Amino acid sequence: MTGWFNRLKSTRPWRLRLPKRTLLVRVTLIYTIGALLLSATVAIASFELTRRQLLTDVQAQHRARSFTNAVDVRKRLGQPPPRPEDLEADEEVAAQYQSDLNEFYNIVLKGLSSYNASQSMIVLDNDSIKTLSPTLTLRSLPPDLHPLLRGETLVADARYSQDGKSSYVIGVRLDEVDATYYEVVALQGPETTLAQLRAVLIGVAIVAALCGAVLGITSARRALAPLRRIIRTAEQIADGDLESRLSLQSDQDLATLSLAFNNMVDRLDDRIRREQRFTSDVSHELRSPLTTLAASLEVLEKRKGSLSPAAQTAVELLSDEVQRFSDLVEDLLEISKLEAGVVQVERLPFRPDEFLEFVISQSRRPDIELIYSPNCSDLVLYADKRRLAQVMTNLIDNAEKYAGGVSHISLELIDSSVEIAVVDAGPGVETSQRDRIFERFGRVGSEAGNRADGTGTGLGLALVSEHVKVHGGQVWVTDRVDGKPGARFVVRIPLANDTEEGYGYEESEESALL
Amino acid sequence: MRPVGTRILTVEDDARIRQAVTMALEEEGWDVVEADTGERALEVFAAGPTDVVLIDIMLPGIDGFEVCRSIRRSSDVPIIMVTARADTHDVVAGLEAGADDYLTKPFAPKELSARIRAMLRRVRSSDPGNMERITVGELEVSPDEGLVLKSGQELNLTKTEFKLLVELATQPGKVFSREVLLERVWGYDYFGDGRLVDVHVRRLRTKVESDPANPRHVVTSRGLGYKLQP
Repeated sequence: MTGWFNRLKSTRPWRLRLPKRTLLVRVTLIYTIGALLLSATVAIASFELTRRQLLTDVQAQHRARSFTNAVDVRKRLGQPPPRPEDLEADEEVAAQYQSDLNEFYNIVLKGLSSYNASQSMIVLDNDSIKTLSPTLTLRSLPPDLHPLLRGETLVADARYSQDGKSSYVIGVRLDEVDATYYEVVALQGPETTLAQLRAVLIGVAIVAALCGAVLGITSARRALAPLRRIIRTAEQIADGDLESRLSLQSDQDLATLSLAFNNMVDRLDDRIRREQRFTSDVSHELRSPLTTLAASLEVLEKRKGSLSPAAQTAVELLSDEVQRFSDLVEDLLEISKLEAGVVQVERLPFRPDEFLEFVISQSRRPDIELIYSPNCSDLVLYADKRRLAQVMTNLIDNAEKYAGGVSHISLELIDSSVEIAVVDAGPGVETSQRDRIFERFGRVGSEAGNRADGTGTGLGLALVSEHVKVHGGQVWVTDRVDGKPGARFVVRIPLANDTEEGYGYEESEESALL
Repeated sequence: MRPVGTRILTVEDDARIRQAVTMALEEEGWDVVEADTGERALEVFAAGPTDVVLIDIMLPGIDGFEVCRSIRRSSDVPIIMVTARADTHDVVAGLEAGADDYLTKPFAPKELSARIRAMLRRVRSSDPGNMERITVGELEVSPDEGLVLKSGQELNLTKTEFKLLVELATQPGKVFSREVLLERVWGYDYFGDGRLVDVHVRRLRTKVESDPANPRHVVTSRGLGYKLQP
């Protein structure tokens, strides 16, 4: 549960963008599915209608032709070859007659108009079957034709499929000549047409669905544009730009939302300003008595020689504490400004090696060894020198307080970042404490021993962390690389090659001040 | 340097601060006169010679900026602004009003003394000397006399502006970084506030340039610093 919550917290941008994506996807999907359903229904319906119509037409054509053929058959069968008198007596004559008869039927069948590879069959009442087709039999006919076979009806037709092929069969009873005429037509023509129609309709359905998707995306984008504007503005505000506001919308619903949103930001802005003013006022109120204290103490310090030993000690204590209090006020202000994101980072070009030499020379321990890696000569860093100096001073003071002093400081160029390591020979920092020490008042262990010096503000490392952050850098603590006991504080600052920022202040302020 | 007879005017409305700072400055050996309001400060300033003025920005009645501007109308005396807020606005506005330097509360009087000394050194070093007259375009700078002529007309510069111009004029065409100028003109070490230079350059331009918005002589060398050119 907590893990989930933390993930949610740590991925704020993801959370903000999620509704945008799913909404867009959802609307697009709805449009696509809708278009697909609609076009599929229309396609299936029109396919079915067309199919039926086509089949009905084709069958009507077949029927008409078959009737013509049937009439033809009836007429021709009415004039069979004359039956010889001596048919029964003479075998030769009988055979000749049979042959003539077969020839006669063949001529009749051949004389029929054929189309679409139609096959004809004449079934005589004596169950003799006359056909030119090698496959056509009575058995192959579908059951729909049985009433005809049984003599219950004069005409019957049916559509049936055999071996995957659709066929249409029609049977006509020819009472005058005691025969039944059958005609079978493969429904190949309409089937091919229907297959083509189906392909076209599927294509149309797909295109319609795609159009639906495009329409969905477009309209969703348009509908979501105000939402995206809100998200963008919210992100700008989250990044500290409190001047951002939503432009008023003409749509009534959106106008209400924009108004509420802007109202909220106004109030937020107002509150932040009030808090900043409060910090500023507090600073002023604290600084005034501190000025009096500092000035009075200096007078006392000048006259220390004439004071009793106890009074001298008291002055020293006072002096230390005033200094500490004053540092604390400065650090608190600095850190609250850094955390509010209202600081101005004044980046100037300088050489980090010269800078470190200067900082060390001004520190409590001017003899600290400085180790450069060979690739650090002629490096130029664009950074806020004052902030970086405070970073170094605080790290040096930190080592002084908790680790008996800095062993050495090293300067390296790693990728396109400068890495400064402050190494000490103290007890080191436990792994579990390595993040905590960079928090405000996050001293390691609060045993009295650690605070015996009594000069720290408890904000030193937090300030280090914030100063490094405004430079786009990182700070962390590790074990010493040489395996000896002690801590290694590493500051990494990217080399920003932006010369534009160097003297930017003067130009940008000019118009506002003159 | 023992600052005997150097008179410092301290303008501060908070009685306790005023008392403590005066005491500490007197311990350092300066002569101190006090004023608790802007109006009183202008009266005191008009009444007798003053070598350095120390003004708190937050004053009841006419504020520190206005006092500064009033004094500047008639005098080039070194002025140090004291502010409880190191915000860009207060510092820059103070410098724009004519202050030569600034200090942030709480300050150690020792530090204040150092600033005052640096400022007086600035003033005095331009009195005697043996620097030659320098001509840059229509500008004529004579460090010995403390004079700047533009097309023969004398310009009215403050001591700090003058020192800045002389510094730039020592090597016309050479770019001086803000650090170098801070060190040579204000006596700051490595960590001076670059805004001091920027604002003074701007003030200098309003006096020496015909068109301050498009400077011809005191030119910004972007990313590097400033230079003087004919």
